[in-house]
Amino acid sequence: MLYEQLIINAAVLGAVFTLFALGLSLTWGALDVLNLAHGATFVTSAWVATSVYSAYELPLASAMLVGILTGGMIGVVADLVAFKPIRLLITNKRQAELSMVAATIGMGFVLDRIIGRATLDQVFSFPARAFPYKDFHIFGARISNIEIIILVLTFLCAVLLNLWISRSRQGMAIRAIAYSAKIPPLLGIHVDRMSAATMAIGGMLAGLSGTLMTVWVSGMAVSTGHSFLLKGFAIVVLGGVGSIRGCVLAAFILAFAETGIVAFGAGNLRDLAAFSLIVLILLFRPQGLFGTRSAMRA
Amino acid sequence: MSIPRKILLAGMVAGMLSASALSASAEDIDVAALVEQTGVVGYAGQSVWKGMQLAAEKVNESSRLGDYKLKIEIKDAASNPATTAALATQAAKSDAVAILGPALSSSALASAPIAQREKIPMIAVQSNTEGVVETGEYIYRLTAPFYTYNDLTFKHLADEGVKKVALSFISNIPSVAGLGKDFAPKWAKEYGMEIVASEGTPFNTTDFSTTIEKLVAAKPDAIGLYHIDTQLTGLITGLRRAGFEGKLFVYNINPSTLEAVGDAADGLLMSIDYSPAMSDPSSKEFTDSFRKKFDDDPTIYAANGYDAVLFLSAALEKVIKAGNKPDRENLLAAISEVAQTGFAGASGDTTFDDKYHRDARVNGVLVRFDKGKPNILFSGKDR
Repeated sequence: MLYEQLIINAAVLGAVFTLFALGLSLTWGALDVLNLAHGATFVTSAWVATSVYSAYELPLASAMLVGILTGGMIGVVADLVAFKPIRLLITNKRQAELSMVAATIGMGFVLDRIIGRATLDQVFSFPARAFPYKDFHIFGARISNIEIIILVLTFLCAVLLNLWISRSRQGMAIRAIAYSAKIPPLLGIHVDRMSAATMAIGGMLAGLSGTLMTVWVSGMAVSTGHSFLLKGFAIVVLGGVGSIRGCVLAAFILAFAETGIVAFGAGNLRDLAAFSLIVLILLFRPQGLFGTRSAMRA
Repeated sequence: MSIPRKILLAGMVAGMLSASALSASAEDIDVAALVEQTGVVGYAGQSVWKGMQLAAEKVNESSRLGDYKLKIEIKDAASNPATTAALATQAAKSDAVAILGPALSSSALASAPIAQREKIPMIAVQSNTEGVVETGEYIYRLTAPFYTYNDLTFKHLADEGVKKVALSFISNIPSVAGLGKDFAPKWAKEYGMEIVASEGTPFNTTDFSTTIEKLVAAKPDAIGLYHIDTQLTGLITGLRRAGFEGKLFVYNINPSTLEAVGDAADGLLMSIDYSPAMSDPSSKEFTDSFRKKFDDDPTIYAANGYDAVLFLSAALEKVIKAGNKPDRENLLAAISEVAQTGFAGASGDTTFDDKYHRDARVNGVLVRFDKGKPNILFSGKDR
C-alpha cells in the first residue's frame, strides 16, 4: 500500500467531513442551535438533486445547485417555523437551546421519513452516466476528478466562510449574536434575518456535501445522514463549537486517524477514533481545540 | 295493521339470523403481521408485506381454508425491537392465531420470547441470527440462513479456477459478520482457496477508500463483499475504479443498488434463496403472479413474506380439514406437521433443519448479474 495513496484518501475524507461539519458548527456556534436535522438535510438535499436530475435531465451541476438550494431552504424554513418562535417565546437561554434541539430532532425525523417513504429506504443515486469519472496519478497514487472537486470546493467554502465570519459586517453581526442575543438589536442588528441567513448557509453546506457525497460513493440512503451526523458532532466538539478553523483541523485529524486505523490496524475499530477523541477532548479541553467562545464567555 | 307488523318483525329477525349465519360461514382467521414498514429495514419489510398480501389473496381465492378467510393485519414494527416486542404482546392478547414477522434480527430476538411465553406461533422472516428458532417450539423462521446456501459461490469460484480470495464484511451485524469471519474462510478452505485479506468494518461506515486499497493490494482473484446496500455502492464502484478486474461477490443486493452501481456490477455473483429467474414451478408461479399484481419484479423479501403465508395456510388447511378449530394450539401442531414434510414456495422446495425442524432450508441459486439482470448459473440442487 502506498503512503501517498493513504494521504490522498485521508485528505478527501477530511474534506468530506469538513463540508458536512462546517454547517453544523456554524449554526451551533452562532445561534446555539445544535441542529440534529443536519444529517437529514444532507440526505434530503441529495435526494432532491438526484430526483430533479432524473425527472428533468438537467445538467449535473444544475441538479447539484438545486440540491444546495434545497438545503438552504430547509434551513430557512426550520428557522422560521421552529427557532424564531422559540426565540420569541422562551426567554431562558438554556431552555430555549433544549427546545431547539428537540425541534431539530423532530424535523430530522420528519425529513427522514419523507425521504424514507419516497425511496423505500433504499439507495438513491445519480445515474452512473451522470458523472464521467477520471483518474489522475500523483507519485503513483490515484485521485479522481470528483475527489479533486471535493478538495477544491471544501477549501473554498472553508476559506470564504472564515473570511465572511471574521471580516464581513454580517459575520461580525453573527458573532455578536453568538455572544449575546439581547445586545445586537440595540446595535441595529436584525437578529431574525441574520439567524435565517445563518441557517440557510448551514443548510446549503449540508446540501453541497450531500450532493457531492452521492456522486463520490455512487449513492446514498437515509441512514447515511445518521452516520455523518455522529462524525460531524465529534468534529465540532473536537474543533471547538463555532470555530471554522477548529472544524477544518478536527475533520482532518479525524479523517487521518480513521484512515490510519483502517490501514494499519483493524477497520472495525475506526469509530473508536471518533469517540476516543471526543472523550479525550471533553476530559482535557472541553472547549475544543479552538474553543474561543467559552473563553469569551468566561 | 298488527298482522303485517308481526310479519315484518318476523321477517327482520329471520333476515338478521340468516345474515349472522352467513357471516359465521365465512369466519376470519386473524393473523398479526409485525412487519417493518419504516426504519432501517423498512425497504425489506414493505416488500415482505407485498408478498404476504399476494399469498393471502391467493389462499382466500382458493377453497383451501373451506369457509374461513385469512385476515392478516399489518402492524409497523418500525425496525425497532422495543416497538416489535410491544406489538407482539398486543398480538398475543388479541384473537390472532399467529404472528408473522418480523424481519429485523434484533426485533425477532425481542419478540420471540414473548410469543413463546404467550404460546402464540410466530413465523419470522429474514432475522438471520442465532437465537431466534432456539427460543422454543412456537418459533419458526421462513428464511433459510445465509450460511446454508452461500457456499454455492465458492463452488463456482473453484470451478472458475479462483485461488486467492479477499473478504470485506460488516463486523457488527452478527449474521453478516459470521459469513465473512467464519463461513467464507471455511468454504474457501474446503475448495482449496487462500484468504489473502479479510477486512471488517462497522455497519455505519461510508468511506471505504483505504479498505479498498488494502483489498486490492492483496492481489486476490475474487473479492467477497458481505455488506449492506448503502455500503455496496461505494465498495463496488470503488474497487472497479481502483482497477480491480477480478470477480466480485455479495450475499445480497437490491435492484436500486444495482442501478446506482451501473456497469461496475456486471459479472457480480450472488448466492440467494430466491431469484425472479428461478424456473421451479412454485417459484415461477409466485414471480408471475407478483409481476401481474404489482407490475414489478419481486425481491427476496417478497418471496420470504409469500412463503411465510403459504406455510401458515398449509398448516391452517390441515387443521380445518381435520375438523378442528383453527386456534393457536391446533395450529402449532399442524405447523409442526407441515415442517416435517416441507412445502413448495417462492424459494422452491422448502424443508426445515434437522435439529429443531423450525428453521427453513432451501436449495438456493447462484446468480450472475449482467446489465443489472440476474442470470442463474446453477441451483443448489446440483451441488
